Amino acid sequence: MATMLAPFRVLIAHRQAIQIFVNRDIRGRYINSALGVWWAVIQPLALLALYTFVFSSIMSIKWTESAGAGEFALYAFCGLLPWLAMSDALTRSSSILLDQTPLIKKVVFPTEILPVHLVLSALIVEIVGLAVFLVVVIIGGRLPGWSLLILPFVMALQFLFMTGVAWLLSTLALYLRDVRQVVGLVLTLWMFLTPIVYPASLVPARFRWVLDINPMTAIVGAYRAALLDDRMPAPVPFALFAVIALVLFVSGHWLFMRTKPTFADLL
Amino acid sequence: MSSSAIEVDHVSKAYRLYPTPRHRALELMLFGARRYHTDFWALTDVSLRVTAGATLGLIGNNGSGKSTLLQLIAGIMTPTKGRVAVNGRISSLLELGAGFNPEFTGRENVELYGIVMGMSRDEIVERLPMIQAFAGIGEFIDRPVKSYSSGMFVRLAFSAAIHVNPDVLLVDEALAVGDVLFQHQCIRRIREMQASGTTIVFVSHDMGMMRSICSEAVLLDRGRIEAHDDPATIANIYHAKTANAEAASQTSGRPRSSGDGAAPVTFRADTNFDERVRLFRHGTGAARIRHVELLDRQGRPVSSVEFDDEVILRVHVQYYEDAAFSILGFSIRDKTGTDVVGSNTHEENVPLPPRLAGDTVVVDFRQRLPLAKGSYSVSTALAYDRNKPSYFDWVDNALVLTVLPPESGKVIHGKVSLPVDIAVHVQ
Repeated sequence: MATMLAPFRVLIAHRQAIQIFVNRDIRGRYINSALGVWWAVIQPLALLALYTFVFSSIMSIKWTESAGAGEFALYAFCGLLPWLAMSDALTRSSSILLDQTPLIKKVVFPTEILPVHLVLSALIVEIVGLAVFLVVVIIGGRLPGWSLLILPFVMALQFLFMTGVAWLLSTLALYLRDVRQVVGLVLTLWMFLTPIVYPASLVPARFRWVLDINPMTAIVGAYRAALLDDRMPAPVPFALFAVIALVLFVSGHWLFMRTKPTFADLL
Repeated sequence: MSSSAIEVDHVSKAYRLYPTPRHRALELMLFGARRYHTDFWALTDVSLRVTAGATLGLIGNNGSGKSTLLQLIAGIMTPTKGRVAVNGRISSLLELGAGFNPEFTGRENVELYGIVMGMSRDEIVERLPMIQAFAGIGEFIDRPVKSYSSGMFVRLAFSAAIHVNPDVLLVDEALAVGDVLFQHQCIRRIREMQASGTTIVFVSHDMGMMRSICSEAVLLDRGRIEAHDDPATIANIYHAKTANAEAASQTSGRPRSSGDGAAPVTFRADTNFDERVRLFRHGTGAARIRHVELLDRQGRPVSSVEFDDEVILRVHVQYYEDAAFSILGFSIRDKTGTDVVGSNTHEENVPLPPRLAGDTVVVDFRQRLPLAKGSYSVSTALAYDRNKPSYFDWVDNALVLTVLPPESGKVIHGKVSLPVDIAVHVQ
């Protein structure tokens, strides 16, 4: 039980430090760029334009039989936002401990908050994107329903999932520097194995299991259910995802804290 | 007897050295079924107890384990064997400003530092004026740290570290930086902290400072505690040891490294040097000083020298662009920043040859140092032209050296002792 609660205790005990770190990170992202926080919107929009062009216009993938490119863009964007947060947090967590060597070797510092702040920072950027997305959806004449209220809960689970993986990755990357190289590759594969720029319905039945075992499928599905379809997420995949998220969160923290005493030796 | 603030109990620390990163991965994946690493023991069976309120000085040559011991006490590393226990909040000055982010303001960096040290926001807000005043940086507190001069940076970092009211303060040669005024300010603050019962562990090569500040001292040698006594005794043992080592190598005849005559001088770049002087350099960077060494007459590295000893200041320079003409100079400064001794290749009529991009040059300055005892810093610079103040690279604090008092007991008046003839005419 203590192991279960320990990672939550990290969040509470170091909330002020986490807050400052997140603050710094968000500002650090945009402090020296002319367009500032608009990059949180521009970046996903640029990718969206590219994917819509390639998958909808060139390859003529349709979300439903009757839907057009606009519909494709909405669904793709809805899936892209949580994915970009995930991808950003994981890429950065694989090098965060190496980047912060002075904090580890020269200062007594709760290093476990480093991956946490990356995840929160990525989620905040995502929220900016989501706000813009919601405006677009509403202008498009689709008023979100009550199911929108489940979104904070989805994001909370997403946070647990991402933080768990970030803890695991950051530790692993210290022992095996190759992890940093592998992460970029794995993330590309992972993205295309998640129904982000194509609907799950297009996947042949014999490959369906690939999507079913992928936790990101559940997240992307839950986002679309809440934001676009006004229904509750599919219960079984979602419940399964919740369990996976919790297990990763607890075990990620456990591994991180187990290996933490050796960090200074590894750098 | 008062309670102990620090207990180090039979502590040993081994660093695992792997031939390549692949071997580390391999060992990890085999769960240690095969060993690929060799152990390097930085500390062996070290035990010591520091009572609350005491100030302990750590002395030893480079590589004797001082820094490792501090890191273990700070809790940054864990011992391979044994146990370290510390009572109370630790503030460590192992590296000034570690974790400071140059893009953010001084205030933000100090806030973060305080939070990390376990203070609440209110406490920090309450102390900020004190920190600001002590650092003496005025309205710069609200500017990004990257716009600070190196002195301001160091002062702010030091100020932040001592104002978090630690129970235990660990200082690793941090006092060697900053101007003399600030050093005095630091020492005064350290005395205040001593008076209020703070336990301090202090690494320094400055025997004078050690004697004046510390209540006890430990001499470390190759990872073991050689002696633990009052500072004066330890300083004597240390001096005797270095003198013996010197005498032993002198009786062995020639310098160890050479076959016949002097050892060949080869260019050497030192990444530690770059790291250390990062804050103290300016210049175009078209050529860089990559390493500066202080050697004795036999060519062995030294950090403290006897009064009037001849030393070699060896400067390693690397050119990144073609340079038909360049001048290398040095200056030795005392604690007040006054240039005491200095010269350059132009003034001494030893011009540097034209160099192409990628070329290197190593220059030895031989110099006697008839200086008053104390610590001095060495600045080196590579200039374009003697008439213009434009530099390839200018490095302050390239190294710090200590001049020991004359063995004869002669008192030096002033900064430099030049030969003097005295004639007494009795009427």
